[in-house]
Amino acid sequence: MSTALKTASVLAFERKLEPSDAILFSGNWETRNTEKAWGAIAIREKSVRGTISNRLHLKDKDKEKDAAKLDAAIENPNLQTVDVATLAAGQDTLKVSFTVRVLPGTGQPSACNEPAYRAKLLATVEAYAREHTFAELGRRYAFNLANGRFLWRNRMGAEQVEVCIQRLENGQPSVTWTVDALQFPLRSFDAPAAGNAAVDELGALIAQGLRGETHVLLQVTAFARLGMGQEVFPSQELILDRGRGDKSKTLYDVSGVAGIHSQKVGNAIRSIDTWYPGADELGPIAVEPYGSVTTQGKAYRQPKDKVDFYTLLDNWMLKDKVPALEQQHFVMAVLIRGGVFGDKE
Amino acid sequence: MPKLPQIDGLLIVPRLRIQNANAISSPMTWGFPSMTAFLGLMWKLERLLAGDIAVVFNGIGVVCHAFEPQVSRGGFTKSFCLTRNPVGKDGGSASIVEEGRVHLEVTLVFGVVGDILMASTTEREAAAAHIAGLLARMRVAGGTVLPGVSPRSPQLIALEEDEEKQAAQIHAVRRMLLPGSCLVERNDLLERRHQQLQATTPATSRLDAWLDLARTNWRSVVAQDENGTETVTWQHDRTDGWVVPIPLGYAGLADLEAPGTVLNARDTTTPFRFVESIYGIGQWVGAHRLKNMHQMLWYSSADDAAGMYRCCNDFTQYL
Amino acid sequence: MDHYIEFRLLEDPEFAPAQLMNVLFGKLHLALAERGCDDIGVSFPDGDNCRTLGTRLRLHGTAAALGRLMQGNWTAGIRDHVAQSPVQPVPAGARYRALYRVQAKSNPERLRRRRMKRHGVDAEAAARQIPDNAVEVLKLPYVQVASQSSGQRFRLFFQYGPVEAEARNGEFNAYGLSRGATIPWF
Repeated sequence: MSTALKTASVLAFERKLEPSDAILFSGNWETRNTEKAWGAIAIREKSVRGTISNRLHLKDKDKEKDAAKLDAAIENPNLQTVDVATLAAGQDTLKVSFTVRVLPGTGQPSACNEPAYRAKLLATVEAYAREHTFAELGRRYAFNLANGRFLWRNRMGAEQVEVCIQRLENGQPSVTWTVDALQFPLRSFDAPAAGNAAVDELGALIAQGLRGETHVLLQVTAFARLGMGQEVFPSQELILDRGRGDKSKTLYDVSGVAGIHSQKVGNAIRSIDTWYPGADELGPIAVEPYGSVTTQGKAYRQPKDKVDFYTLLDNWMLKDKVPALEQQHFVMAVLIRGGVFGDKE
Repeated sequence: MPKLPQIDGLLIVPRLRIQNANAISSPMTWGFPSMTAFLGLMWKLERLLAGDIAVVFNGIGVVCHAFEPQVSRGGFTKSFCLTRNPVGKDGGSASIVEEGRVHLEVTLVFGVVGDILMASTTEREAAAAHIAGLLARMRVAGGTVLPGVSPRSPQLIALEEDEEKQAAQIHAVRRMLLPGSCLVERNDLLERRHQQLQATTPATSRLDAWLDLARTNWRSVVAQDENGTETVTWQHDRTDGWVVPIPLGYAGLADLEAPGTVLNARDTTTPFRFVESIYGIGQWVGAHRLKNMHQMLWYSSADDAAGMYRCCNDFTQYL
Repeated sequence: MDHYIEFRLLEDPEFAPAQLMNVLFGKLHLALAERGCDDIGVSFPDGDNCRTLGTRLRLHGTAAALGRLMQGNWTAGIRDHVAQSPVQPVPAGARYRALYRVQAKSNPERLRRRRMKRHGVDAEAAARQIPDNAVEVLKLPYVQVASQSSGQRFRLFFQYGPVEAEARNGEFNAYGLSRGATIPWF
């Protein structure tokens, strides 16, 4: 008997689903298949006067009672500059376009300083891959492309959404799936009859890529019919230390074209976790070691409930307590997400 | 004195678009990723190819075509656009770690030797395409390689022995690299500035000279015309081209430790040493100004005894 | 007004209820405006004397009127974020009340322009008479919508009238609000 296996103090994984930034174009629904009919959406600046009610509401959480501060705020009406992005006048449809690369080598750490642990990890992932073939995860990732979740706020305003997913081989599309995204729910992974085959095929392809059998590169293009000249929602930049007079809202652009951060696209694709306590209420959340939902300031996979990634992984690796199948999927999804998971005492 | 190893051919991977590369590669500089990242990429690639293709990488050059740092716009002081990390298990927001990110478009030029250079055009083309395919799946300076629609395909060129023929080859390669700038090392400029400053202030250190070169210094110059009227003009000292402070590698802070003896090291098979960054002066040179390919290639020199792990470039040898 | 449909905003990992309500209400406004409906009223059962509208939106009308409105596909896009009830009769014993729009005098520029016009004073005098802090602060719940007629984005503030025993009939505008008519309250 060798000494007890222990978790590596340095343990890191690179992400295996690698989306690009999504970039935003404006055009018309009728001509959505004409490449030339699409113009890049630029970010514009606009000045807004912070109205009083506005300011009050912004502060209503903490500063409501602080009347002196409020008065001071009212006496200094601030003209703010914010960024906005809209469809061009007379155009009704947003086109969002990005690529996703599926990389092989799930479970192979990019850094690991415990050779025995590494071997155990690889054997475990290999056994999972052999038995479950990444099919469930592949299908769920495919589903989150088909339902247009990556459009985020832009999906809510849409009357119609079409998503077109192409596999690129040698720079050329080899297979194309086109689906009506609004027929795919955000709250479950039950595909409509009309889209089932597409999600199954695409899911199988992604699973193949995760198993390392083939190189998978996908081009995803979504068309969201929003209405003439409607506002669109690129990512917002997080800028600390804003100087005086700086913009209060900066939107993201890539070489002058409005964009959605690759991190945000990735977050949508890995919103597949329905295996945490409370999933009935909230629906799928992004795969995170503690099941954390940033907008809610809450973590749904608590160590005390033994459903967080670290507890599940340690049980599996060190104590040979194989988690329930759904939790195995979750652990694999965290490895696909990547991150630094070392156990530093 | 380290010297660029033998180069018999060039592998050119044109127009890689890289998203979110690391833009803070030393404690004192920000901007284009460090050459240490590109040398690391070269070695990783060589290991991936081992046994597959008979090629050895002896140097790497980088031509930058586009540089889009992820910083706030407007205003004189810029700050990096950051990312919010997921909340912790208690729901509290995670601390924000400053990371600098940049989107790049670069052409990589590898200086190579190996039997593959003797192979047929078709074989060489296939090898170049294979390597470019591998590269597309790797991280470059921490960034993701985007699938690009480059009109040019990667090339593996065997350099001609005949000088005239080789000159024609280099001419064609240089044209491929335009418009773009290569990063080269200009330690001669640092030495010169150091001497200039010492002329007036003998206590000036190399660090002072480096900081002086890293900024624009404006000085008033008084001129007198024939009537004795004085006119004052302002002059700056950035006349040596596009000169930048860069990290060049690492210098040991302590002795080399045996593999597996340092707690929390990344692996247990490599000797370990605590190091700090070393700095030098680089210059961005238009690709058309290169006299030969040796001028743009970087290679490494590791001296365990001296504790010096350095990126080197021979640009100044061909001035 | 004897039937209703209730929308309940689902808890969402990404979007706050207020954000979802803005979109839902915006889509409703668009649907009412497009169809020229004047027989559909709205209410927010959680939004009485609150700073926010809560998570429920009701549409009130006859079964036929509600049926007509729901024939279109105007909830597309937001459908995954709400639970929608069928058209159902208003429960017995419901009371009635009116829901009004309240416009705050919250923009000093607008007040000054008005003063300049009505009292013939110049901009400087108007600014003196109406300082920036002389504006009204509303503590009412609101939605942020874009008007279908002007395209302007603005805040639509709501205030409820007293609870009444009898219903009053009348026309509703494209925001589902009415000056005179009541909606069932239960």
